[in-house]
Formats: sequence, structure tokens, C-alpha cells
Amino acid sequence: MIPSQSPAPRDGAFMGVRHSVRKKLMLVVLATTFLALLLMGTVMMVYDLRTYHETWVGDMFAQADLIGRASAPALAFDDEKVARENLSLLQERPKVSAAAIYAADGKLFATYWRSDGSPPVFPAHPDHEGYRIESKELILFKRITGNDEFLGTVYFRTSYELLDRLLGYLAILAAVMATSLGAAMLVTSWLHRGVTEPILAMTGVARKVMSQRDFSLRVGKLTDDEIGYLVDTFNAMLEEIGRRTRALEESNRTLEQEMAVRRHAEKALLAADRQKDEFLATLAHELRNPLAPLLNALEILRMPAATESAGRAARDMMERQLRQLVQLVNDLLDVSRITTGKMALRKERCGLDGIVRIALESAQPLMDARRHSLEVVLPQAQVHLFADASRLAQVFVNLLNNAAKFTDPGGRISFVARRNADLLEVTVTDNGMGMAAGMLPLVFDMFAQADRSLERAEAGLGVGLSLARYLVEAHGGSIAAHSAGAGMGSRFTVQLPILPEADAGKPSPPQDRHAHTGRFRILLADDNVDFAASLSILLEAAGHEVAMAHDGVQALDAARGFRPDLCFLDIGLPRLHGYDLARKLRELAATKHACLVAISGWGQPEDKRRSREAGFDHHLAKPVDFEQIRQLLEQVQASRRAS
Amino acid sequence: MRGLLLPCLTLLPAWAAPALAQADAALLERRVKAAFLYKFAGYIAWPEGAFALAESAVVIGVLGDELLASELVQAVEGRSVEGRPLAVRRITDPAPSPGVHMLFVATAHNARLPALARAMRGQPVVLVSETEGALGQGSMINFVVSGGRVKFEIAPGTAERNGVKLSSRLLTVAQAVRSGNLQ
Repeated sequence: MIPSQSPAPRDGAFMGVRHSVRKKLMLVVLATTFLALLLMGTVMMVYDLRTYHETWVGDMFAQADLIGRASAPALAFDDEKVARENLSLLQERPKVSAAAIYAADGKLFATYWRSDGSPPVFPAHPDHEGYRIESKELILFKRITGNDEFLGTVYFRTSYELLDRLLGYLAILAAVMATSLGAAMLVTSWLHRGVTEPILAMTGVARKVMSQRDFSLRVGKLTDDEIGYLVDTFNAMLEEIGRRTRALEESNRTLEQEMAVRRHAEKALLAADRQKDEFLATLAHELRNPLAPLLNALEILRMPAATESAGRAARDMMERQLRQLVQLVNDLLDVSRITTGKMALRKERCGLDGIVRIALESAQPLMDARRHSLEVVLPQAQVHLFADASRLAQVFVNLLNNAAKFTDPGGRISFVARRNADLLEVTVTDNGMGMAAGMLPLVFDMFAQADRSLERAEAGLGVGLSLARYLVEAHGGSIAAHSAGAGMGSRFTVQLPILPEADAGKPSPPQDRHAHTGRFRILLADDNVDFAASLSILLEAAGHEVAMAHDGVQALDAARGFRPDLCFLDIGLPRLHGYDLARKLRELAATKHACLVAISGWGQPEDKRRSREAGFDHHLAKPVDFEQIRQLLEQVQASRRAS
Repeated sequence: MRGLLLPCLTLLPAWAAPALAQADAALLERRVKAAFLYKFAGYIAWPEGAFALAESAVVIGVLGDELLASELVQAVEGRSVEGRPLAVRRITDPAPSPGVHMLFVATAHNARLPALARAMRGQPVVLVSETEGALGQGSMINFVVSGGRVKFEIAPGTAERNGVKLSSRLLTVAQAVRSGNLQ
């Protein structure tokens, strides 16, 4: 075998493959060479031997004929000396070992044999004309005729070297074959380098790629022929496969990440759903709780025998329960505003003292009920904030109520506000149940409650802290919860930016929201009769003059005679919708300069733009509560006064 | 002239020696000479005009030897030379005989040879004799008996003067070849 240059095979299967290709290649080359040589050698040999045979026999016959013709007179005139002389001419033909001439009657007439040989035995009688081959000798008889007359026969015995020639040919053929097969081996070796090796290299790389999944492997290009092209194509395919595999793996990773995100989102959704369910349960409970005491109190009031003190107690109880209900509903509305993004803050310069006072007033009843001792520390100098005072007070109330609720009766609670550079830091500390460290990040989540086992009546809706965080952040501040652990008490810290003292010298604008409320002529157009009626009562109670309409046409008619300063118009009015109504009102002399307020179920910028284009001055999104209307009225009042 | 004769070196054929040793050796000699005579015809080229037709016979005349003539008649029976049959004519008249292509002159008539040769000068006739020195007297082929064997000597020049050509192959077996100049 030709020594291999390729790397050693690593297993049997690979070796089988290698041998197969190389063996086939060698077989093809050797078999082709061998067959071609054998065929050509055989044909040439047969041709040559036949030619030799024919030439030799023909030559000898010609020679015999010549001798015969020359010896015809000798036979005719019985001159055996001349015949012998003729035969002796054969000395020039050493291949002729013996010759003789027979007379016409078959008697031996003249003989000849080679001088270096012993006298041969001549046949007693001549045969018919012809030849035969006997043990490497050609024996021929040639008739001699003269004047159409049979004169005698020439006899030749010559060497016949066909077998020697054949052996010589076989030797030559063998030598040529050996040389050619050797050359074929060399060709195979060369082919092996040019053909098999690149294929073996490719096989090796293919195996490596399959076993190691390393698509960066490449086959070295050795030649520029079709195999080189094959190698290039193979490499290109590897690159393509590598690229696709990477892309696939990348896409798999992305999918896995997306799956993780989705699983997380799903978990969060499930958690949110659970929280909502719990919230609904809590809400139902909270809403129902005050009802029994209220019914009881009503029963007490109906009893004729009820004493004055019992009646007062019942009324106090009803007030307490109703306040709780109102607080619940307010909380719910706040949650709704936060989740729908409709929480409106009315920020203005205000002092910390006032805010804290409102908060303490609200929190005091619960503190007293649970017999907590409350310590309040405020900074010595007045601190001003740019804030919505009632909302900020709500933050502190929520924190104080939270502390009161989660501390066993008779606990100690402190409210400490102090200045820290440009920040106001308010800390509410209790010595209550505290929280596990794991709970801390969750306390500000909507509907989150630390302990379900807590008495429901005091648990609330679980929205207080969430609201507090939302409001603090809406004021540009931050809120954090701390606890050393369960049973170790809690500490909530609120940080709020302080208004620069340079503004402190300016007198605060008059803030009494009730003092400057002027009287307006107000047109109220809404097809919700109850809403219109209740709002009408509230507005009239605030000292305004109110006209009501329940569809657009009615509203337009009313506007002509009533000449309102302000119109609250529902967009979805029957017969004539709010936008057209606003345009028509703008055309009326009576309402040309009136303040038009749209009340719509939609609050997107696009809806606001549409109402502005229709001629509205303000846009309120449902649900509208009286507080919003009150603030709006103050705003209009202020602008009227300014103008 | 005789000094030109070469001694006979040929071996006797196996059958010849006992035959000639017999009393009827003379008969054998006649028979051999007769055979030689018709065989000569195969080695002689006559000119075109020597034959009337393409298939005309080669006529061999025998002068003064009845025994040989009768042997010759037997020998030529059924034989031909180059397509021509062979015919034997016994000649008694010593005058030139037209239509003869070869004329054998026995020893008994050898004295007439020179006259015959003169008479036939220029004619395509081959004169064959059996007398020593006959070639000098105008004969073209002369039988010689040497060592008990019949041989012959030839004078191709003499034949050519008569327009007849003796084959060179005949020369190879002739005992002697002489110029054949006439005296």
C-alpha cells in the first residue's frame, strides 16, 4: 500500500471508509492498466506469432522451391552431385538443420545436414507436399516439377522457434506489466494526494463537526480543480450551517427569555388577580360592616322608649359608621383615579403646620380608640411646601392610621418631622407588629396586606400605603418602609422637597376656598336626571342659580332666556350632542362669552382637542365629583376677578 | 579440345550401377540417352519460326539407332514440353530433314556429322551426338559415358549460331561446356 499522509483514523468505521475510497481508486487504476496491457500484449503476441509462423513457413517453402527449381535439371539428368551442391547452399541458412532431395520414384537422391550436427535420419520416403511441426522443428516437403512433370521432392528440417518467441514475448509482457503497474501505483499515489486526501480531509472535518458541533472548522484547499471547488462549497455550507445554527440558538435564547418574561408576567397577573379577589372580598366585608350597626342604630331611634342618651349614642354610632363608609368610598375613588390616571392635584404654597394639623385631627379618633400614645415633633421654623394640602394630609393620616392599626392597643407612636437640607423628612414610628424583611418591598403594592388574620374591621382595604406612595411621588418625594422584623415595630419615612425660603416672605394668596365663592348662573345639561338633580342641589346649596336641561335642544332654548355664566354640558346629549350644542351656544349673543365645560366619558388628549375645537373652555372626564366642580368654579371666579 | 574435358565426379545412382553391370548395359545406355533426349527439349528455346503452330509438336529425329528410337517413342508417349507434344522421327536419309527440331546422330553415323552441321547451318535444329570430339564437328550436345554413367557436354555457342538457345540450367548439369567452335 502507498504510505498514507492523512491523519491516523480514530475508529474502525472511519478506517473502513478510508480504505474503501483508496482501494477503489487503486483497483480502478491497476485493473485498467492490467487489462489494457494484457489485451494489447495478447493481441500483439498472437499477431506476431502468426506472422512469424506464416513468414517462416512461407520463407522455407520459398527456399525449398528455389532449391527444387535449381535441382530440377539435376534430377532430370540424374546428376546428384549438382543436387548436393544446390543443397549445400543451405549453409547460409543455419536454421535449416537438414535437407534432402528425393527423386520422382521416391528414392533419396541428395542429402544435406549442417556441418556442426550429426548426420540425421532422413525419412525413407517423401510425404505429400506440406509441412508439419514436430518438437520445435518444422518439417516440410515441396514437390519439384519441370515441364509439367513431377521430378522429385525437397525435404527440409528447420528449427521452429515459436515457443521460444512465445516465451520471449511473455517475458517482455511480464516486464512491461511490472513496470506499468509500478507506474500505475505512482499514479494512484499522486491521485491519492490530489483526490483522496482532500476527500479524507473533508470526511474528517465532517466527523469533527458532527461530534463537536463546531461549525467554525474548515477544510484546507489543496487543489484548484473540481475537488478544490467541492472543498470550497463544503466550507461555504459549513459556514451557512454554522450561521443558521447560531441564528437558531439565538432565537431559542430569545424565546426562552420571552418565555421567562411571560411566565413572570403570568405569575404577576395571577398574583394581581388574587389580590383583586381578596380586595373584592375585603371591600364587600368593609362595606357590609357598618350596615349592621347602622340598622341597629335606626332600630334604637325608632324605639319610643329610647332614652335621650341612647339616641345620642345611636346617632354618634351612625355618624362614625357613615364616616367609615365615606372614607371607604373615597379610598375607592382615589384608587380609581390613580389607576385611570385621573388623580388631580391642586398644588399651592402651604405651611407644614396646617397640613399636620388636618392630619392629626383625622387620625386622633383611631389613636384614642386604641389608646396609643402619640408623640409629635415638628421643626421649630415654619416649613413651606408646594403641595396639595388635603392630599398630603391624607398621606400622613394614612401612615398614622396604619401605625395605629398594626400596633396593639396602648402602643407608642411618634410623628417626627424635621428639616434635612432642602428636604422635609417625616418619620412615623410605632412599636407594633413590624414586618418580615420579605414583606418590605410589597407594603406599597395596591391591595397588599401583611396579615390576613388581622381583624378585618381594622384592616381596611389595603390601599392606604399605596395611595400614600402615589401621592408622595406626585409631590416629587419618596417614601420608604423599615422594620427590624416581625414584632419589632415599623418605621415609615417620607421625604418631600421644601419650597425655598425666598418665597416665604410673600404673603400667601387667600386660600379660604369658601370665602370667595361668587354667585354664578349655571346651565346644567345632562340626560342623567339624578346626576343633574343632585348636582343642581349641591350648586344651589353653594349659592348658585341653576337651570337644568336633559337634552341638547332643551338646553339651547334654556340658554336663550337664562343667559348662564357657566354651562356644564354632557357630550352624549340626546337630540343635539354636546359639540354641536357648544357651537350653537357660541353663536348666541347670550352665551357667546359664557364658560362652557364639557362632561365626557372620554378623557384622552384627542377628546379634549375635539371639545376645545367645538368651543369648550374646560373638559371634565366622568366620573365627575363635586370637588372637581367646586375647584373649577373657584378657578373661573379667580380668572373673572383678575380680568 | 579434349583436354577441356573434365573428369566425371558424379556418383552413380543406386539403381544405375548394377544395371550397367549387366550384359544388357547397352540397352540401358540407349534407354538413358533416349530419356535425356526428350528431357533436353525442356531446356532448349527454339526461335518463333521453328514451329508452324503454337501447338505444333517438338520433333526429335533419330539417325541410325533404331533401338534408341523405339525407346524414345515409348518415353515421349503422353509427354509434352511447354504445351507442345513430343514426336519421334526415324531418319534414314542423311539429307537434311525439314521439320526436325532435334537430331540425334548415333556413333555409327558420326562421320556424316560435319556435313549435316553445314547443311543445317542457320536452321533451328539442335544436333545431339554421342561421339567423343563431336562438339568440334558441329554437334551441340554430346553424350559422354563416364564411370559407367551417361553424362553430356554442350556447346551453347554452336546452338546459338543456329538461333537456338540452350538453357543455362542445362549448363549446371553438363559435364563440360565448350565454345563449340567449328574447325
